[in-house]
Amino acid sequence: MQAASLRRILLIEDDRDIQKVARLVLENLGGFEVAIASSGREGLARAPAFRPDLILLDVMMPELDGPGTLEALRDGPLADTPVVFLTARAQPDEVVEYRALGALDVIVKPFDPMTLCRTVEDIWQRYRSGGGA
Amino acid sequence: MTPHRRAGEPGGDDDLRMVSWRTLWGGHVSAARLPPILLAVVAVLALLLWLGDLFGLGESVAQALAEDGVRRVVHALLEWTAALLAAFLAVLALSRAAMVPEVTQRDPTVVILAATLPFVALLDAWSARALLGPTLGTGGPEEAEQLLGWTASRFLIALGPLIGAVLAPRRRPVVAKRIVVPLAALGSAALALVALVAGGWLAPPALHRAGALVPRPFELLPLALFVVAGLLFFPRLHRARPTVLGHALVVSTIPQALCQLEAAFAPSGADLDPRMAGLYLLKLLAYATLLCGMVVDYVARQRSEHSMSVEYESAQRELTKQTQELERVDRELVVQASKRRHAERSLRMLEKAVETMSIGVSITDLEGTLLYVNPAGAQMFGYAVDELLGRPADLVGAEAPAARPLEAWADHQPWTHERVVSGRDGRRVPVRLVADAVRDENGSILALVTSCEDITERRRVEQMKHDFLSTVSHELRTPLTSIIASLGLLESSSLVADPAHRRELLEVANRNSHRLLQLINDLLDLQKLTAGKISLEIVPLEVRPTLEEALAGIRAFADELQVELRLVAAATGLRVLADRRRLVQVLLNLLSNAIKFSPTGQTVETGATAGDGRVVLYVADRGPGIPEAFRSRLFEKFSQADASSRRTSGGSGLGLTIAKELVEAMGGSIRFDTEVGIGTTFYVELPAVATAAGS
Repeated sequence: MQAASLRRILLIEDDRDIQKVARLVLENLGGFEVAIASSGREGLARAPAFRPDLILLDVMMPELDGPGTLEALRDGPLADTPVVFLTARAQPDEVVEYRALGALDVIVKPFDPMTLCRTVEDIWQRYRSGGGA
Repeated sequence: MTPHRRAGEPGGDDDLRMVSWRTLWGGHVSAARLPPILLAVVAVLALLLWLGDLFGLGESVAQALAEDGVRRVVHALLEWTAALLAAFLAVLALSRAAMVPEVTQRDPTVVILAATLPFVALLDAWSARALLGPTLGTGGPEEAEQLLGWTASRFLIALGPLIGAVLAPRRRPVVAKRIVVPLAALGSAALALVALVAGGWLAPPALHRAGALVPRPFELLPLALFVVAGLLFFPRLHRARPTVLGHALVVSTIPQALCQLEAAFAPSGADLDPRMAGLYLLKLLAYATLLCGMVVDYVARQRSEHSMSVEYESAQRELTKQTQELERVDRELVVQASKRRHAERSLRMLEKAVETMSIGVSITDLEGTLLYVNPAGAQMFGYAVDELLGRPADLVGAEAPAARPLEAWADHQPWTHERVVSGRDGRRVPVRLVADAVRDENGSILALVTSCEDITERRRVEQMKHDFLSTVSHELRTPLTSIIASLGLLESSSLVADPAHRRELLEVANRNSHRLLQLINDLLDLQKLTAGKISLEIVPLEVRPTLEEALAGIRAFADELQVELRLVAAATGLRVLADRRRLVQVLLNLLSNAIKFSPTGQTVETGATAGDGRVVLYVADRGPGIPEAFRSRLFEKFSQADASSRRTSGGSGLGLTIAKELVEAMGGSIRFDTEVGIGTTFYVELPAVATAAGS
């Protein structure tokens, strides 16, 4: 909405090693500006200041899980920010459930580091041409 | 069988007699026609004899028998014949009365004759003897004796039956049946004696007055008696108990009376008067009539009794047949009752079996109304059995025939499907239904039987399996994500040029590979434990070296997280029964958790205490404590409550589950104390080795 191109990505992910590799991929390969939160609560806290163009959200997190975080985001100032689930829990029925919750798309773990940025860009472009405006 | 006698039908006795007569006379003469015939024959004979005498027949005969002695012998023979006839009659009557006691009740005539005739016979014999006296040379006043015997005999045969006939019609005998004959005989004997004594007193002039108008006036008395008896009492007796003998008794009064008439008015008065032969003949005729009556009666009765016995036997056979039939029916009933009892018992057993089932069973009619539901079937949806009967089947998930096309029921296969039924309280119960039709002999559907299984639990287990698989998949994919991503990045070295980054990526790949291995090992352990297939080597074990081994194994991790480890000295010398490797695994799990949750710089303490045959090993941290809401799920698979994002490695989410299973498999128990903000202590209690000596 505010940005024509995808620049800033907030990654909400509790696994430290995935944080590391995802940051490397998104920053070095995609050239995005990446902020990382280790929990849903931390993500909700950081998001308003960072003002991400897109949020990559893990599903399985202690305390506040992915769907809970998404719900909380929709109640906050970043209600319109597109959210893409990045999860290892992606059986067909679960994907349907995530979409029903309002997720823009689902990226399945393990992801291919070489194509992750491309996938995220595609989702963003689809979002821009379809739902954005 | 109760005999039915319709109104207007002849009595049973008469029927029998009719039948008997027919058989006796070849069916030509009926019993009803015989008495008049007998009457006519006897009357004609008597009249002929009497008239014959009147017109001098007897005189001409007497003249033919010119000799006085010959005449006397003829008379004596006639009198003897009469005496023998009387005696024969007496024997017949006595034997009838004695041999068939009920005859005395049925036919009084027999009793009368049986009582009277012996003495009549005696008197006649005496009379005959007197007639023959001169001839035999016995001498004596033969004419007087003969007259006395004759008159007494006539008197007795007239008076005896008359008295009997007067007394007999009384319905209720005042004396017992079996003494009727002796009593009557005694009376007759008394009469005979009276007649003799009276005759002896009067005789001979009084008995016979030659030349008088009535030469023998005493013959008038029996005459009167015969007339009265023959006209009045004998017919009355005969009407009361109609028998052939009774009829003969009535008929016999005719020759008797004629005989008396002639005797009374005999002109000569002399006993040897030729006309006197007529008297004897009339008397004989009377006796013969009685004999005829008695023989016919006797034969008839014999026949009747025979026929009765034939009919009795046929009735007996019929009865036997019916009894056998009844017995057969009875046996059949017994068998049927037994079968029925058996069937009832089977039914009761089946009913009990269905009642005690935990699966719901219901029976519905063709309209879909509940005919039966077992307690489980009603309870499943919150109902009582009684309130469901007669109500729609779908209340308890039972099938109605309308639930699917009729042809579908015809394939004789139970119909199995699952659906959700709303219970009374609105609770939705997932059920598995198996329905089948009950058919009659012709194959038409009578009812439907549905078994209904609550599959809530099965669905829950299925959901759990699904969740577990999903979780395992997630847990496997998470380390793989790091491994694949880091290795992918390393492969295209141009993209990650920084050597520090490269090293870091290698570390990530390495660490997550181990994590994956750990997870797989844990899953296999858990699988073995839950299947009860883990093999343990339980041996006496020094506690302190075991704790030291575990501490050594985790020290690197503690150092990494800057957590201090401390072994409390009290553990020295204690021994437990456990599998060493598995106990170390449990301790490593507990220590790893404790270290993960300890703030940097804090201490994790471990040690052991003993008491009451048990040894308790403990691992205590000063971490944040376990949130209350999570405590109950602590030992469940993949349950992780920690929000600590900085500690991700080494946790499969299975550690505590495995620890608990292992400790329990070793005969111990695991528990924890926790306080939010203070810390958590896990306790592992194991059996102590009894011989353990403290140092």
